[in-house]
Amino acid sequence: MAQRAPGFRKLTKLDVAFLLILVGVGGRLLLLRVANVETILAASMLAGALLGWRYAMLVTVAVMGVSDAMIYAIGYGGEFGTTALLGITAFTWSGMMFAGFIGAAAGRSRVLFTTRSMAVLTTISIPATLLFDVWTAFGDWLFLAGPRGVSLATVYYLQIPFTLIHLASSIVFVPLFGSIFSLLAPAPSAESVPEPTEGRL
Amino acid sequence: MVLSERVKAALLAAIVAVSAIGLLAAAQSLRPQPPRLSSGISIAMAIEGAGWTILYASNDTRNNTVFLFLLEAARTLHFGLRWSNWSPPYSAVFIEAINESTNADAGRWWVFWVDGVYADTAADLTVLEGGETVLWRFTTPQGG
Repeated sequence: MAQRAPGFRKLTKLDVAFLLILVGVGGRLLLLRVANVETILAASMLAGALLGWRYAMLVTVAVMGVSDAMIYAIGYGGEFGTTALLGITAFTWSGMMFAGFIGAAAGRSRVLFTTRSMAVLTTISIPATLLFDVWTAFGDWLFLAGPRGVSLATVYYLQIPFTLIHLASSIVFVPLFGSIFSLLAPAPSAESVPEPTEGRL
Repeated sequence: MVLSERVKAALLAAIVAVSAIGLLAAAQSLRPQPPRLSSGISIAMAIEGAGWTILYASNDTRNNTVFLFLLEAARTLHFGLRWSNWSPPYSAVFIEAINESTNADAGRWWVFWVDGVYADTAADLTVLEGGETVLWRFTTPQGG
């Protein structure tokens, strides 16, 4: 009997990637004045989990490239200087890539529109966020705080409240967008079941 | 006991909401809080702008953050001050212009030091105990 494909699972991987880029860029710009509340980590992680690591890279680079260009164009970050800005950019982009790869690793066991899948993704967003913050705070120290005489320990100490806010942001946005995108994403390819052949046991 | 998918989803949403609120509350608790002063303290401030310097000091101020003391100086000496606010959950002020010297003019920006130490928190989150000297300087980015 022919199986009926569910009507809502009709977006291609590229469609989903494009929507994730919109979520990442739109969320970043809308939340620009809200420290450490952002949608990029969720977009990168979900790209990895739902579409694979190549799309995680594509979505991350697109979101960071477009949003960084827009943000710097309106004058943000100028106080840091070009060298520091480039250094911080390297850390933030690679940090988001890590999140995408963590999502891809989690997605290997198939992300479905189920509470269990969302709970798993939400849980995994915690170490992804921590890794991102530890990594980018190190970059901040290397390019900004360190040259001004601030110790790495002080940078990590001052990072704590921002990381708590970032964790709150991740555990809200990952299941929120995860639910929506797992519904829209192409169905994971099922293992093909061999057709029964005629015969007798 | 087997829970339905709907109940599981509601439970997850509840756990996420409670955790997020808890994390935001924890972040707020780590926010520097200037103590309410019962008597004034002494603070000195120098502001080095584009071709000008403003000096201000008080021996009896209760404005015990760098931002509050800068506001006091602006009010007392009648110079302009412009700032923007970062939104909650971790709100902070960002100084944009002092006495017509505006950020990004000729690549210069407002930064400040307290007793010669570069400030690593926002002006409204930098608490002063009394006896400090604050230096605001309109300068090109340093380091990195």
